[in-house]
Amino acid sequence: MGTTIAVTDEPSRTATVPADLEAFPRIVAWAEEAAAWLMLPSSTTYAIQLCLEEAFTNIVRHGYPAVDDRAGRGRDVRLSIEPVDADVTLTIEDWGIPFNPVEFHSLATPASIEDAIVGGQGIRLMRRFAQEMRYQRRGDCNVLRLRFTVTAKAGA
Amino acid sequence: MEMATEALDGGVTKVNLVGRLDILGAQKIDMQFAILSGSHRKVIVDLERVEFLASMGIRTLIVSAKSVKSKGGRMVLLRPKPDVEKVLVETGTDTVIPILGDLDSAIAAVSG
Repeated sequence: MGTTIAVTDEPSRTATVPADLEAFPRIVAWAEEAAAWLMLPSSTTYAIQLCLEEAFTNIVRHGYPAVDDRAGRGRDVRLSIEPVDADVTLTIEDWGIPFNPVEFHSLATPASIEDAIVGGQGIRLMRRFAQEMRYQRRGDCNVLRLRFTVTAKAGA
Repeated sequence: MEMATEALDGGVTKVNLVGRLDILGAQKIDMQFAILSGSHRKVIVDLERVEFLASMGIRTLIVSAKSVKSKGGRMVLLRPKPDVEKVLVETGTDTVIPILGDLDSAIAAVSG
């Protein structure tokens, strides 16, 4: 009989949660577990958590308007994380209204620097903290793929 | 997210934040922070024990800084961790709320 040595249990690389802020602590915990299992350096873990928060809160706030409940799909958000070569890819899918953050540019001209900073920073942060951001509308699903390069900090 | 205030000499108030300033953290302290920033003129926000900052947390900081500034006061940020500082710099927040590396400089900046 063979012996299997399990070092650690692999956490789920996918999670499906409702597009509701109440689910937010669950996605934070999910991302932390996945990052720990993948042994990601803290800066990569931070970047993933930041992009996940910005994308998720965007879907919660704008993705599923009350008048359009997209019957049958609920108000789900599906998350998955996977290592690809030396990188990590985070995929966020929702079945809400079509929204392409890659091509999104704020149209309003802010009245002050303060107003500029308060509005529309989420997508800007995703662009800065992910090495690549790709969007695809697949049927009735928004698919956002974010790629993160795993680089340990010097001296870490 | 926990928030506590400390009264320093010269009418300076130090706000000590601990935890994650994510959307839930921001929601938790928004009202307390609004009250504080509406009634204090020399405010130092100590970020040393803030592990995480996202856009809703930045909103909390900017709204408070505007409120302090509107009454002729000053607000600065103290000792953010490197990842948190990167978020502040990438969003241009540091151009509106100065970031200081030590308490003495922060006290001088809000007192000046």
